[in-house]
Amino acid sequence: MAYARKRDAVDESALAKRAQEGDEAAFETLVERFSVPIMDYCRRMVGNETMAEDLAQETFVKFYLAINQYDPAKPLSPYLYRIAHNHCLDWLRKKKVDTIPLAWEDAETEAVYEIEVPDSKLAPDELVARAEVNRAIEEGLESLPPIYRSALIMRYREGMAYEEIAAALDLPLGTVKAQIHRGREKLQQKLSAFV
Amino acid sequence: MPNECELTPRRIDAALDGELSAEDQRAFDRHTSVCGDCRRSYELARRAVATLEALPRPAAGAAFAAAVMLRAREARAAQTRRRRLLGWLLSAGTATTGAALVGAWKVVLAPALAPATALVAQCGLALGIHGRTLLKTGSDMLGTCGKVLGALGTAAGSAGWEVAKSAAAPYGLALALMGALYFIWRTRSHAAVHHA
Repeated sequence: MAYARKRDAVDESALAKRAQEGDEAAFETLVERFSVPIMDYCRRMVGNETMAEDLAQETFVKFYLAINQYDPAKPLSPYLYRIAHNHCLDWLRKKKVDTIPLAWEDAETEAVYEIEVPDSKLAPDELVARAEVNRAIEEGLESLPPIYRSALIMRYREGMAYEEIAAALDLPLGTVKAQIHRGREKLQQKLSAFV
Repeated sequence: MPNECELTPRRIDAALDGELSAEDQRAFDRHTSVCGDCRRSYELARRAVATLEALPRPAAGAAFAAAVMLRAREARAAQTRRRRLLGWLLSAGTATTGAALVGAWKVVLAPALAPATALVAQCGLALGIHGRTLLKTGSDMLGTCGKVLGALGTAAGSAGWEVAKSAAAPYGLALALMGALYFIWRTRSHAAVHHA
């Protein structure tokens, strides 16, 4: 089950409303609820865990500063993802200009895999095989254009409805469905080497 | 009509979303049981999605929320300071500009324009005095002319009427008409003169 499906949208709107009235505890609760998915989204978008944490924090700070612009009658999730998405795109554009060395990024990505894959029930060779598959999928994801990546992450990691993704990315519903379809086919191609 | 293989991509999307109807599901299962390519496509799609869903998630504890709150409060304080500074700068700018404008008027513009202002005032006064005299004279003249024309009109009207009465109907009528027109014009011009 995707992470976002566990959350309660009605409760989130009520918390956001309280946060708009100046209740900082309500805002903090929202941060706690969305910290993992937003950080995960940023991590998948920029491929760098340290930077992802920073981008996720800045996403919440932006939300905090402009909280009165949010309409509590609408679901919070697409609104937050929209801020995160735009923030990640800004960072990716800037990174393109700054040209960060790839070796640094690869080294960090490698470290992340070593830490994140533990599963004591699996044999060592199965662990290695799973890590390779995960890596193929992550590489496939990172090789996609950012907009495809966003749609896939929102759909399959956050379990968002197509309509919510369309709202978050400000795209027509048909475009979102097509992007998810094409993005998934790209991932299948990456995975085909392991099957 | 598309064959079963052509339907597979759409059915895979629907199957992954859990939106295949029972009938389509049966058709899909039937087809993938006999078509190796479509079965492989579906397996790859399912596995790609499952792997994507299961990729490890980052850990974000209470420290993350605390860091966000700290940064958010700092950002709000900085935003307030920026707004206050902007407001102060706007007020100071407005006051400075106002003082500069008043100073420029008093020191530069008012002395430079003083002769022109006096000339305009004198012209206005002269126009006021002479204009009044001119208007009175004009009004008197127009009044006199109106009276003369009125008398002439009345005389012509009476004469015309008499002529018409005595026989020269067409000419008499025309004269009477002219007389009437004269009378109207006289009345109007008289009224205009008085109004002025």
